[in-house]
Amino acid sequence: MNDESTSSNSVWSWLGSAQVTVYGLAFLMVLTFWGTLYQVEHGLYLAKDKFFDSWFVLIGGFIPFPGTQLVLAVLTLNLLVYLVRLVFQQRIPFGLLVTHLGLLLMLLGGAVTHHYASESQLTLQEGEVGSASASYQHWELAVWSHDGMVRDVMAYDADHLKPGDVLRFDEAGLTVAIEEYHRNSRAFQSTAPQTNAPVSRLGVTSLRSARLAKEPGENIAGAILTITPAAGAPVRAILFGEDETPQTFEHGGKHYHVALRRVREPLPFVVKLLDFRREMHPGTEMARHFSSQVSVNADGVDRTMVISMNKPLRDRGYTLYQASYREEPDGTQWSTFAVTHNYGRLIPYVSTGIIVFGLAWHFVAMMAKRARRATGAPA
Amino acid sequence: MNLSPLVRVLLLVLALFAPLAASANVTDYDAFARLPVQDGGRVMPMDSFARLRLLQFSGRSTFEKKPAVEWLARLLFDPQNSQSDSVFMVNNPELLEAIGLETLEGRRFSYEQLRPGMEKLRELAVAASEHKDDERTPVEKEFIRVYHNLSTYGSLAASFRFALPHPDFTVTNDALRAKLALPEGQTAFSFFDIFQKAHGFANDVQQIAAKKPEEWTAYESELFALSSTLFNWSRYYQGLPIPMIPVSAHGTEQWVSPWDKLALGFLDDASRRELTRLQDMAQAWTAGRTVDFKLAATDVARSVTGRAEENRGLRYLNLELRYNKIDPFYRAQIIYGLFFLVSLVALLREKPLWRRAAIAGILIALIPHTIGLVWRMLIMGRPPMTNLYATFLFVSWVCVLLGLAVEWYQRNGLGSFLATLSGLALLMVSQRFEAQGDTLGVVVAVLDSNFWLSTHVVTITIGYAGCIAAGLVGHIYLMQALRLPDGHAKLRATSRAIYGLLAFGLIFSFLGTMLGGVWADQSWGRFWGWDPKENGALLIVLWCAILFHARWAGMIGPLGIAAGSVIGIIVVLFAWIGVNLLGVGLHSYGFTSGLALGLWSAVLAELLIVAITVPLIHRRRTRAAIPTQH
Repeated sequence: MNDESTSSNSVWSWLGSAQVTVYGLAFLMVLTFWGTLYQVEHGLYLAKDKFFDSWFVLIGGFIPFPGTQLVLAVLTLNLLVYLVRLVFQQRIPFGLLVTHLGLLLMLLGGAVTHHYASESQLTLQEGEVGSASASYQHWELAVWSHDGMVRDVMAYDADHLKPGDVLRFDEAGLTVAIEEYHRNSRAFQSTAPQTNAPVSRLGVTSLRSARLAKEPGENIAGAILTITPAAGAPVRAILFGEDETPQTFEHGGKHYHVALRRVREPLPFVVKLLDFRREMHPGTEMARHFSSQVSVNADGVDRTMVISMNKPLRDRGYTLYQASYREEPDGTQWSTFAVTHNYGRLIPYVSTGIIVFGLAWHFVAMMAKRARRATGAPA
Repeated sequence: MNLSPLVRVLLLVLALFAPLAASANVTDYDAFARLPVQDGGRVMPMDSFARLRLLQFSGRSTFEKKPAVEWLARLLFDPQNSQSDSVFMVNNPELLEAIGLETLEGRRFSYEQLRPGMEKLRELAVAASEHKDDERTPVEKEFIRVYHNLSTYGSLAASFRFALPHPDFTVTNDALRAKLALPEGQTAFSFFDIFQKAHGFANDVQQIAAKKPEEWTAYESELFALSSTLFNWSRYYQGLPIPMIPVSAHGTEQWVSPWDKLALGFLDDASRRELTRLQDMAQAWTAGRTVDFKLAATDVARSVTGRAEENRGLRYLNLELRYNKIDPFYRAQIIYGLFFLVSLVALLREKPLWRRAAIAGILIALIPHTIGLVWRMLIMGRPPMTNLYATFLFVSWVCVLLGLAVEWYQRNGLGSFLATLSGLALLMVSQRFEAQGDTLGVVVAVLDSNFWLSTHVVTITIGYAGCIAAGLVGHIYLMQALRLPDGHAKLRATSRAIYGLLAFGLIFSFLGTMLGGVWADQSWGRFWGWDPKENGALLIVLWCAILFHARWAGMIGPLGIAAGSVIGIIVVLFAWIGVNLLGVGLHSYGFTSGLALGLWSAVLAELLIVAITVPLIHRRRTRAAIPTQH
């Protein structure tokens, strides 16, 4: 019993020890460095996927190395145990206690953001209205019908679809069997007549899988599938992510549309792009400033405001940032906004404040102590 | 990159390099250097423009020990003779081989020397520019860079053609001379001379064109030829530098070059006067009349300044000129260098006199160092950190102040030595970055926020400075530990300094990193995105945290902290410069590959220092039978 309590005590003390912190930080350093170099070849998104959002990194495809999620979880536990033990056993300078409490809050805030925040984008042409943003990287297989102004949408996440999967959209009376699914694909057209060729509005006759792009936004999903309506013959169709006209079926007197598209996130307000402006540094092609004048309609009330670099629009938990723009030779302009929704948005602000206060307190206290010691003791 | 118009201009310029050899005896370039011109999105004095172009071509800011502005004047007003100036730096000998000029030796070549390979170089540059930026090989980048420089040179050579007399505008017919009210005793005129008379003969030319050429009189033949040449010249000479005439278009101020102003057709009184005085200036230079040259340049500057007085750049022209002339950072560097030895003696001997002398020297050097930073802020209207070069100036300044703080605390010469060492070394390194381009240039849209520049960027840069200073003192500790026994009072003091500087570095790096997160959250919607620059800053914070926790857990002692702080310099270099090299882009020619080499050498040197000294110190301490800490 005694032995057990001693050994559990030593496990606790090890878990909360500075050694674990040092190893944890060292692993984090290795991951950060490695993940940074990895970005040169593979881009930020894939590096995040492999190093920063993962629990394990497989070296050479099979040797597991702790991933950032695991290291951060261990560091959080390490910090938590340390702080709990502190309450009972050790003394710690006030500044360092505050610093570590702030760090704990920051790590927890990171976890909240990691699991609950969403990032998407909204691209509008001047004069266009938008009420839903689209994901950069996630795709869905969606079926919807129109009922006046109301859209009734059913959707499955498409990122993990594989041949043989069968999806049922009961309300629409449709069954969809996946024949091929590509997270990034290239479409091809053949002029030769083909038997049993899949249907495609764009005239696509085949798809080929492509390597995942550095920028996830450049991936275009594609699928070949068989859609069986409740009444009627099965239809073999190609859904290509760039094809904006959906396949249409009728069921129970309603028209149902099927499309493979980026995951939509409905916004709690409607945004209209009134005017996009950009200013160049004189005599150069280098942008000095760009901004979008938008009107936002929420609960029937309109307000006009400007979104620019370093000046986002915040409303109902959503934030819209000026991300990029596109301009056609004929002068038509598009503005792209990054849309984020994050419950943990303020946590880094608060925790940074706490940590810096703690560090500064400790630093000043140490300096004062040293100065006292220096003046107290003859040189 | 659109190459063909440049080529067209270039070929034309080659054809028109007329034998107008002139000996320039102008001795005073002050007024010319002060002429406002627009370049890279801002208004600057001609002096800065000349330096930038010369740096771009040759990697140096002077030519044959003379100010860049004198070289530029020759290029503008006497292009023929400037063709033999060796100003084109070629970093990659493969280029010479590729264009069939492998017999040339050296690194800098003249236009004349490179001309036989121009056509081939154009072909290679066009082919290279069709590839994506990151897919170009170093030699392809060199093709584009050198060709671009030669084209720019060609455009500059043509930019004052309008003002110089040319055989194309020869008037021998007395009736025509009288009709155009041209002065007696001169046969060759400038484009601008004839252009100004164009409205007076437009009708005559129309009538001549209606007649058969064989019926033309001598007067008519000459007038028609003159008018055709005028038309051809104005068609060809477009899109040329140097924007120096402000015009107001749609309520915004734009600056156009003299050629572009002429192409606009209508000349208001002010711009007519400015163009006339620019012509006077060019002709005074060719004739070697210093006073006229100076007066004309002064007139142009005065007139332009009067018209565009709202422009921010104009207010600081004189300051920028003074900044270029005085070169405050070079002066500071010299003083740090002189007192480096004094502070070394102060550190080794601990004699109060030497120590005081070192402190005095540092304070003197701080004057130009600080003034330089303040001037840069005034000229740019921004905090002193908008490019890599500027961060070096600031980091060295903070390191010097940290050195003084350490000296104030410890009074043993350590801080003075740190101050002179960091002032000298970092300012010397900063010179490498000066050639990057306009160090006072404008910033991209995302950086267009003085609030964030002065909070996040300043904080993180102070963090770099803290860690660099700790690393430098770490070197001193390693050197001291090689000869002093463990636990010696000097070692303890040095160790305390490292600890304090590291803590300072940690606080500011952390705060800077987090403020960066806040800025990113404000402008991109995410606090943290694992972007290389963010990761670099995080690595510094992590490394400092590892050292403190390892020390606290007893895993390392003062020697470990010292060695760790030296390694910390590598971490800072990666965050500060290394990540910029990862995205190898258009700026990676010559300059950056040299930079990467420098960076690798520094990393290797630091690793070697630690790998050699730490085991030696260990062995020494074990032999002395004094219990060691790792």
